[in-house]
Amino acid sequence: MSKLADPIAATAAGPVRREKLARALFRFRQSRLSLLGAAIVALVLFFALLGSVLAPYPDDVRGSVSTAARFLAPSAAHPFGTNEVGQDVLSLTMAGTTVSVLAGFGVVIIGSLLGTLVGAVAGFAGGLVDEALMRFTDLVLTIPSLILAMAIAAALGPGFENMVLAISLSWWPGYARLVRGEVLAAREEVYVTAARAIGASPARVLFRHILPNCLSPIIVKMSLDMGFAILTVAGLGFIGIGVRPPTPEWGTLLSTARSYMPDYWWTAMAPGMAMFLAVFGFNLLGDGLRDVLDPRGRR
Amino acid sequence: MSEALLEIRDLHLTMSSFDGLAHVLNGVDLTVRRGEVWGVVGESGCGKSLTGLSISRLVPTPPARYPQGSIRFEGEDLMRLAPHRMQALRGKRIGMIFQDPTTNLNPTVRIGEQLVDVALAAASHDPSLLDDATPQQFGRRRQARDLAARLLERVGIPDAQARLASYPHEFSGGMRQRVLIAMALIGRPDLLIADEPTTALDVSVQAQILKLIQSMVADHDIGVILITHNLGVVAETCTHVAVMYAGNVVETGPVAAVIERPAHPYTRALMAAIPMRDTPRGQLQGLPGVVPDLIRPPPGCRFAPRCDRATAECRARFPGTGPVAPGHAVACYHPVRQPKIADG
Amino acid sequence: MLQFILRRILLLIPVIFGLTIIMFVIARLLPGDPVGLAAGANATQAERQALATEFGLDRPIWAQYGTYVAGLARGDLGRSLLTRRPVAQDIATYLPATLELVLAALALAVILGVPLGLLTALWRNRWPDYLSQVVAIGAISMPRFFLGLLLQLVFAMWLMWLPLGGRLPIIVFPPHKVTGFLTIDALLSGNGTIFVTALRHLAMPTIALSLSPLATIMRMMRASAIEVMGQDYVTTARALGLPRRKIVTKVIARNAFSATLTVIGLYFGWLLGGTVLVETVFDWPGLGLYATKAIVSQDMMPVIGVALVSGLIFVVANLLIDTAYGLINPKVRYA
Repeated sequence: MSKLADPIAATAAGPVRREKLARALFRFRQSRLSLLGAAIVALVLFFALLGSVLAPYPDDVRGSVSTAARFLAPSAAHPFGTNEVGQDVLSLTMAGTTVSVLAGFGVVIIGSLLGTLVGAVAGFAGGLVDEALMRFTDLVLTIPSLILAMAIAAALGPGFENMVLAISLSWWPGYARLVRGEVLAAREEVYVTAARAIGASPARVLFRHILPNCLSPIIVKMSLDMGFAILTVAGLGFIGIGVRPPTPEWGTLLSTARSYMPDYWWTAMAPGMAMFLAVFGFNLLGDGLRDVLDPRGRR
Repeated sequence: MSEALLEIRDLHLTMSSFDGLAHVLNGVDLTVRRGEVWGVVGESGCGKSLTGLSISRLVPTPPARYPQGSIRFEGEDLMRLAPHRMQALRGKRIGMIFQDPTTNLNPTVRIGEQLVDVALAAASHDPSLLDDATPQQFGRRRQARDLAARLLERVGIPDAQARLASYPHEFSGGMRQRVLIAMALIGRPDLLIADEPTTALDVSVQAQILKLIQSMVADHDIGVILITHNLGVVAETCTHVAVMYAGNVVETGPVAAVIERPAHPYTRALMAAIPMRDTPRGQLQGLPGVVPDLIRPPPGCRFAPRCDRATAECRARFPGTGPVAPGHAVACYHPVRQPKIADG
Repeated sequence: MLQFILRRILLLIPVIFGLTIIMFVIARLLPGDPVGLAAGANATQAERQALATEFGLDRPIWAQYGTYVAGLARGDLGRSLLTRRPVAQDIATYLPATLELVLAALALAVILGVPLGLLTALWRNRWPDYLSQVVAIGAISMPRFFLGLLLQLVFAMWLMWLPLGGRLPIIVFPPHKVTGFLTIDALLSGNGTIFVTALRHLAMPTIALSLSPLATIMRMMRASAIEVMGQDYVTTARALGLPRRKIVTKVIARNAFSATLTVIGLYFGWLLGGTVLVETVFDWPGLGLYATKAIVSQDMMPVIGVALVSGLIFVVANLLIDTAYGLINPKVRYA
């Protein structure tokens, strides 16, 4: 972790930082798996942006139905076949990338913001505040996160935003613990003492000096969490809580496909494989990022 | 003179690292006979620990490589020994003690069990090891346990039978080092390699441990290599000394000769860096400069850049080892010849 | 040590209060109409009112919470709107199924993951190690409900080797209930046929549930074994001539496992949540399926009960793990 928040140190350490960055990039490029992960993630992001436009049957994505084309087996025209209302499964899957990736990002960003806030306040304030916040965090951690997310999602009602919020509310405790530990460690650093000595306000010390130095492990955790967030989103869709049709979403697509097994098995393949591939990519990338940015977190 | 127990000839060792190939050992020669206690001294990074580990073949290859040289143990070249035969020597014929007693014991296994495991491993090569302990009918494990208890007593751990059930963390540092010595001795080795065995210990414990090693030599006529950077320990304990610098043995000889008449400028510098009772204030000398870069070592004598006697010859070619007195050899073009130093 | 365990058990009480309060707050956020869902579409206003009164849903939340906590002391977890049965009774019915599945999955993950992690550490930087690293990340990335569907498709529908779902066929009488684990109860009653049948039903859900923890435990074990292999005491063990087999089992495996053990405790909690999706795929009549059905119909008492029970199981499991950790690693003091 670099300790460059101090403006005086930062100017002096500029070349050092560039050197570190160069070494990190070198190490990242050394690892072919991380590169593969980055490539998959790039592909996933590409489809998230343009999936519904690039889909071979854009009309199907918008909900057009064709009973004549029901359950067509995979063919050149429909590489992954068609579903129970004659829509092209590949097109739906491509379009479904958007929801999964957006929701994944949403969960990771909201979850990390919430967790960082709780952890930073707990670690910085210490004492009773710390005790109360961390006991609460531990408490939330004891409830299986999927059950918690399901309960909150059901309570909030259906819809994309509610689903993201529900998962985020079950996602923050990990960040809270991580950030608290980092803040506790950073609080003792010389530059923090120095900032306090020159009369910086506590908020300024926390947000300008301490938190920027906790960024690497947070980013690493976010990248590692991205895949699991996508999995959780799809899991809620699979159970039937979350995004409602006709918005294409991988979990929902898989849940529908399940009721037509085994005769129309192909309806499950594209969404299932897309899910696997996206999560695999993010996990490879996250692993590589961790090795580069936070080597001591290597486990 | 008796036949050599251990004979290291022209041992080279390279290590590949991120920055390049490091020439860590550069032609080490060392001969140890039974009854001799050799002190191997030198600054950190001079290769003394790696020489010790090389004898037991415990340096991981890669990254290490041995381009040339031989290590003969009772005439047998260890460099060419099959791994399983090398393993049979370790613990049984060659015992090792390491520096830090806090990290060298398995923290999750009881002391007794660790000793028993070593005893059983050694006994698998030499069944007679357990014979004189307990009557055979009690089984080998029981015999090994009794042997372990006796060894603990020998190294001065009171109430040994009971302490067998303790875990390492329940022992003090000195006690743990005794346990490690007991482990190294349980196979009745012929050669004991002790790598800084007392550095991590209190001075009072240090003296006890060194006495213990000396008594092992006296009782069992073994050979010992004592790796240390403490010349005081050497003067106290050893019969012979080998001074290493940057992967070379630069001076060898009987301890009295080397300490009283150091011939190599580096040995002299080492001696001058030790405060003596009668060293005048302000006369204590540090050694200027640092150990050379092992990846791009200076040609010729590696000590030349720090040596005040160095000439063009020194910088060009490494000096061969030659005698300055019977049994006292030095690798230097310009050895110091004088009756005695530090004589008051 | 007894004192340590007692103190930890006492700590369960605030956990119970905390969990129920959190879940009550979530339940109150409900914008939905649980009474309407339970009463049915054709229910009159009077019928709905009667139902609300019967379940106390017309009372203020703090009064409801008070009643709940008072009931809790008697082991009463409230009643389900949907099944109209006491939640405690439902949970007692479904919990053994979930525990059987979770424990089987955890056992599989540990039994395979620990040795595999050790092996890959010993093969470090050779191709089997690289391959296993990729496969492990792949296993972690595999959505377990998709894996479940694939298993069903291949082994139940195409090859017809294994049953599609459930714990036992409807026509088979379950063995006399002792533990609630069908496999164990079948063995206890000496019924080999039912044991095999139950095991065949258990196979696919166990695999689907355990793949991800298996891979994680393997990676964890590999990392700690590599760390242990660099420790001084391993060099000492080699220098003392211990046979390689003994160095691997007694020195490396033992120390690496004690570090891995803490993760296993965390995974227990993860499995309790992860089982929801697997139970849905395999119609496994456990807590997850029960909770899912309750959540979908906004029947909150079962949800609170399930959250409470899973939370407690998680805490107790970690207590057990901590105790085991102390047994393996003598340095840990029970403080």
